[in-house]
Amino acid sequence: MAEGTAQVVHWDPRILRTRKTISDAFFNLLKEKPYSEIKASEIIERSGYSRQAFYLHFRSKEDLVNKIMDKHLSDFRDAVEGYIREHPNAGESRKEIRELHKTMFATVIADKLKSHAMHENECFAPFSLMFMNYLLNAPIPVPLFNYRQQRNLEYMNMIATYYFNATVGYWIETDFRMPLDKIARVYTDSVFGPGSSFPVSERTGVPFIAHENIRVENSVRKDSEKRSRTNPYRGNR
Amino acid sequence: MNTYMEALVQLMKEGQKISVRSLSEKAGYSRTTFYNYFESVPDLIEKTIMQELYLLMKTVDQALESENQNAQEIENAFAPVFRRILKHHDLYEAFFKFDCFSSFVSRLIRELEKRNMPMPKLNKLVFEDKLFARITSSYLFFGTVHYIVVYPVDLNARQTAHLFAKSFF
Repeated sequence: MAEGTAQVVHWDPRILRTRKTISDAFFNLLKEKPYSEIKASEIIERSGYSRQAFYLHFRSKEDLVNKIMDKHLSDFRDAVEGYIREHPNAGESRKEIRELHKTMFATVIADKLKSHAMHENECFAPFSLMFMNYLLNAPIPVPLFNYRQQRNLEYMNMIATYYFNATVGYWIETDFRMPLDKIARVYTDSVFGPGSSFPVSERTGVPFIAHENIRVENSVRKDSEKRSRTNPYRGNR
Repeated sequence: MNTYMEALVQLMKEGQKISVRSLSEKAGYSRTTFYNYFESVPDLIEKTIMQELYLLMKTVDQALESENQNAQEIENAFAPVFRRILKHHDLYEAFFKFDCFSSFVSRLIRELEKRNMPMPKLNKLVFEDKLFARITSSYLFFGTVHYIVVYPVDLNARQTAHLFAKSFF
């Protein structure tokens, strides 16, 4: 999400609960049929809420997908940045780095249904790029070089990001067979293993092309689905 | 057909409005010609993704025909793959930059995971699992692509292949 975006924070547990029920209904439908065949009316029926309730929160099926992605990313960001605020020395030892990554993996296992749906369905494809762009610029320590003799910080940053995504993908595909502790260890040992030099400052300051024009497809397809990037939650009437 | 795909990438790069009219002007054909090949703009986008995916996977398959047991072999085998990507730099930049192309990323990774990408030795040290190795090697390949396309680095195909091979061994 662009810097300086005004975002409405919803703290009301009733609103959060309604949105959760509706998105869970959507995730369950995705297990049964492809995204293109799902109608808003089916999501409404499955969730048990009224049409009005659905359209109070979401403008359309596409809007629901976009909001799920935004919410997931902002939850992840809050978890990571909250952890770093509370643990200012998060990059100082292997153990600290592992604890930080445990927090990151914990957001994936927190909602297994959502993680499966987001990993397996193409309607969430924009998310992987949003997520990688966030990780590439996130204030997370990166190894300076590893025992494979890579000394290129930007490349190591890229490798660490993709390795994280690969580990998450593996974890989801094996249906979270490995406990949280172990998966964090597998990842951190691979990337920050013996021989790697760390910590390196923060991932910030890396030259990176900002993700522009984030949802071109919608504006190309239908004007009615054009979505406002300035305030993603403006759909509430 | 290719002219329209190039026109699409050019217009996106310039940040202009994408429509059948603007595409046809850029490509230098009439609007009727557009509809001979594509149903709509989303259809053009879809076909662009599918064509590039097909052509790239063909070069990857060729690279996988060799042994790929050590860094040098991986470097030799994958140099042509990176050559193709660097040649179509603008297209790949659009793949990373614009959301309408984002399904390219997930589809490519799915395709790579189906194949026997070279296994990172590293994983065998840390965690022995074929599936894990296959997934990470697919992502490592794609991470390298992301790196050369998006960062302002001046690497040729061989140097990139070297970087990629070194991330395994």
